[in-house]
Amino acid sequence: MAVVGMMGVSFVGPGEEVERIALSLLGAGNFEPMPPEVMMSGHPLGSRIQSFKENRYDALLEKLDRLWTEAGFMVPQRPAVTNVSETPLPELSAKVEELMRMKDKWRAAGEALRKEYEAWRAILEFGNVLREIGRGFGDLPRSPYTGIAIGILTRENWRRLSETSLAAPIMAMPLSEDSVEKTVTAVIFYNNDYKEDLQKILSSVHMRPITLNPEKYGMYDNPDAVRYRMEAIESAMLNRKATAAHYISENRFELGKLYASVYAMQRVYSLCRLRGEISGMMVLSGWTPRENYSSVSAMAEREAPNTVIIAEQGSVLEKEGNKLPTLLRNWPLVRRFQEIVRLYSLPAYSERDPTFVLAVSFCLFFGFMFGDVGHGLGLLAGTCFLEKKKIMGPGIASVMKIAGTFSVLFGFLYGSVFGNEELISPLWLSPMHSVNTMLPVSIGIGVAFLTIGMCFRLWNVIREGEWGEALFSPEGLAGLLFYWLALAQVASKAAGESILGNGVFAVIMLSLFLVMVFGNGISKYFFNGKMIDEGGITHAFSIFHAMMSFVSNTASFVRLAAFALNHAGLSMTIIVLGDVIENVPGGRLFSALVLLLGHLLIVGLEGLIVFIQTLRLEYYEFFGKFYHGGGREFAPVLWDRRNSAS
Amino acid sequence: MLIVAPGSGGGRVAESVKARARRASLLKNEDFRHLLGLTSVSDVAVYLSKGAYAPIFKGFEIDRIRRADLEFLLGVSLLAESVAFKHYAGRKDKKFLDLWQEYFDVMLFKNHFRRKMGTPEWDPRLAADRGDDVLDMVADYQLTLVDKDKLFSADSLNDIIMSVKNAELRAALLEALSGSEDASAVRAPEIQKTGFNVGMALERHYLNNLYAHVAGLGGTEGQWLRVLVGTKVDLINIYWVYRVRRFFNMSPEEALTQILKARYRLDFNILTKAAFAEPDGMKGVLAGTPYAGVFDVDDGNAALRELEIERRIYAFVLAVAERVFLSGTLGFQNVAAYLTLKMLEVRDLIVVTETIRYGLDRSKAGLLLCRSLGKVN
Repeated sequence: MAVVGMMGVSFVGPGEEVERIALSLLGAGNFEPMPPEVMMSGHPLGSRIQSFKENRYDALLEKLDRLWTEAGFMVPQRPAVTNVSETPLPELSAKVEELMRMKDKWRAAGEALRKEYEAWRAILEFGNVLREIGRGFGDLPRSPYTGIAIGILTRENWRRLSETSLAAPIMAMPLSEDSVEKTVTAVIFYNNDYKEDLQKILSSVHMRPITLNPEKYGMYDNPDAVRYRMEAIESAMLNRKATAAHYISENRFELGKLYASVYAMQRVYSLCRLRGEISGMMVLSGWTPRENYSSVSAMAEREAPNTVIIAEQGSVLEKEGNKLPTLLRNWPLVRRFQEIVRLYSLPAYSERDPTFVLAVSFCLFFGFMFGDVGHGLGLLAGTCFLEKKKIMGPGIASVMKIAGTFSVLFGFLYGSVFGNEELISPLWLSPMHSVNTMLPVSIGIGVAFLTIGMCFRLWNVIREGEWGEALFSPEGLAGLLFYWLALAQVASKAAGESILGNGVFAVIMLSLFLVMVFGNGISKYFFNGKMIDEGGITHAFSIFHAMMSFVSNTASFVRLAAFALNHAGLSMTIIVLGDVIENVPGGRLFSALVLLLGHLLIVGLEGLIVFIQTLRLEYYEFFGKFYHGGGREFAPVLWDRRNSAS
Repeated sequence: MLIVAPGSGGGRVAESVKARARRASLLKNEDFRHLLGLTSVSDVAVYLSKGAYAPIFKGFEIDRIRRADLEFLLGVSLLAESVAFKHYAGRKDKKFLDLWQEYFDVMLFKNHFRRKMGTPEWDPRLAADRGDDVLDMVADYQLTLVDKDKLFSADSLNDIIMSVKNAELRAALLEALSGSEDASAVRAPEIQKTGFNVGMALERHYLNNLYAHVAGLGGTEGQWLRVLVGTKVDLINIYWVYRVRRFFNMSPEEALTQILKARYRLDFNILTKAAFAEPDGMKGVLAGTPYAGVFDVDDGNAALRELEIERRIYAFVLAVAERVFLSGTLGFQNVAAYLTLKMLEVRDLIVVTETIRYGLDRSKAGLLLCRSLGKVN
């Protein structure tokens, strides 16, 4: 139930040994690399490290992925490899390059076929247009003054060409449009004097020209002959497509081995991407959870006898200015609330993890404000539905499910099922009948909660050695005593007796107030402390603000009772509305409809509002007291690249 | 007085107020005069590190900073500023910022491409080998136009183009490459043409999409965003026509194939007139449009004339961005205007840095900035 302690670990050894260590670390998935020159900045070797950043296997894997994809196969996922590749990089590169050359040859052949197909299709389309006006290719003008150009260009380039044609002595017409390829086949009539300028324009709009061969005009005029030719090319294109797939199937064992080797080395060097080198030795540094350190060092001793391990506690490295990653560890149910903490901000490495307190209080607040067996079950069902439909993410859905469960539990405590308080008897109280109990209880919960927040803050500042801040500030012990004493006095007065006489109470309160006002000076005197010197007026306002916050933050928890009453009231309204409608003709149906829609509205809208109010209490009243956040999540490099941070 | 544009929500108000507050942190004319009086690039960095640029210098030895590093950091600051606004932005505003930031992707892509082509003019501010550094420094930035991993690991021109996510742009770039997958296959005379075609395809994609987004926005906010982006679109269209006619020896019709699909106030007719006019006749073509003054430049020194036209274009955009703030309306247009001003400030800072680094005439450098600084002593 805390932020997991980290160790900074560096391995210095021969490259092949560090590669083996990296492979094991990938399998364990508990190592986040960092630049060795940063990690070892305090070490004598630190300044001599030469650092690297690239992963030369990235490009190789990318190329192999493309080969698989273009052949119509799924890219192999997580190939099972237990050893680093013994084939050196140049050899792997050569093999991949050879495959790429083959792939490029197939692609070039495919491209040539596609262009040929495109040309015949354009000829067919132009022929269709000519036939529509009772003409054929043989009727095309062959005068020295007029020319015709046919070509294919993208839709956007066609727009540019047709616009330009308004200012140029040419006539451009679209023959057809391919909505899949987003291309237009166009024909352009021009004056031969303008041919040279037209070529420049057509080159600007990247028109792929189609050359008409006058000797084949007879064939062009026969649509069946053109279609026959197109079918032949189409079948050649299909055969070409199958070539790559066929090649991979035929050589699947060899290619699979090559892929696995490249994949393994790409993963190894993803982990070693931020590596260093010193006197021919490879240096790999990073963070690992403290609890894993013994297994990591045992593995390294076993796998890499000539490699030196340099380890340091995270807390020491943090003091040296390193920003450590945060890994939260909580009980399974509490873990689900990490999402709510993350939504605000992940705790910094040295900060207290508030997830446990947040989980307990979240359930309590939500149940308190939305306690109803029927509506709680509705919320659970709704959440399951939204999660299944992928409208709600699994993180928030799991929190909502727990919230729904607590809504059901509080429903039993309140004896409420869909707002009906007669079906089951309450195990504790009925909110509508116990307003006088609900209000003090909600205030009491608030006081306890705020006190926990203030204690957390106290713990934080004491840990930082800020004793003056801890003892004399309004958010420190002085403020806490002031708050509790005022509360105790108000509570005892309300009960008809005082714990302190008015005079004594006034003297103690005034003393605490003065301690807060002159906290800076006192701190300097006793602890040589360094409280923030913010100027007299600002300091006075900040104390005034702190005093007001005690009142406003406590009063804020009245919403617990208010929303519980609101829920009971709203449910009652729906029930009464249903009863009233029941007496009109067809009333039963309308009544059922009103009840159904009303309860859906309560579960959907009120559930959402209560969720927001609960978050508000957590983030504003609780986190605002002590929490800073700003942590960076621990991101280990994993064997499976789809889930890896790298 | 601030006027809340209809439909402005709390987030909009917050982002407007933030933009206005950030505008107050922009450098003043006095700052530029002071900067032009400094003697080294590191002096410029030290001066900047005391103001709004302080965060970008964290971890850098300012005393030993080089010009390329400083320009790189200024580029990073521009990106970081626009990313920071995303936290406040609603859906449409986020879309605008995504499209706006695509310019960074475009720069990154161009740099990789040019380096692979072997052309010398790759931009050190966002140099390809520093792409990682930029992304480390602006951790929240997500590349939208290109796949980062594919771009960084690409080892041929074709691979670089395949890193583009948008299928239509990818197709346009492949067309521009004309089948030359590997850099060595692009013959020397073709290098410049291929680079030009690729650059134009990217610019066209970027500006057309940005304008298409603001063209569909309603209300006062939409109007102002159209003014901001539309002015840029017009100026780019007219400037492209001018440049390709004057320096690339294109025919008028060929020049017209280069312009953007997006148009604001300069329609196809005006652009056609501009394309068919002699370069010196642009002034007459634009008479009666808001851009009449842009080409109204003294014909004396040819090189200075080109610099002055470019400066006037930037100055025009600067004036439009300032007008957004002077209008007093609250809305996302303030963010867009602020980012425009910031971009122009960075542009001017680069002019200042280069003037100092290469020992150019300081008194004339003031005339090259898009803000009106006059002659500097």
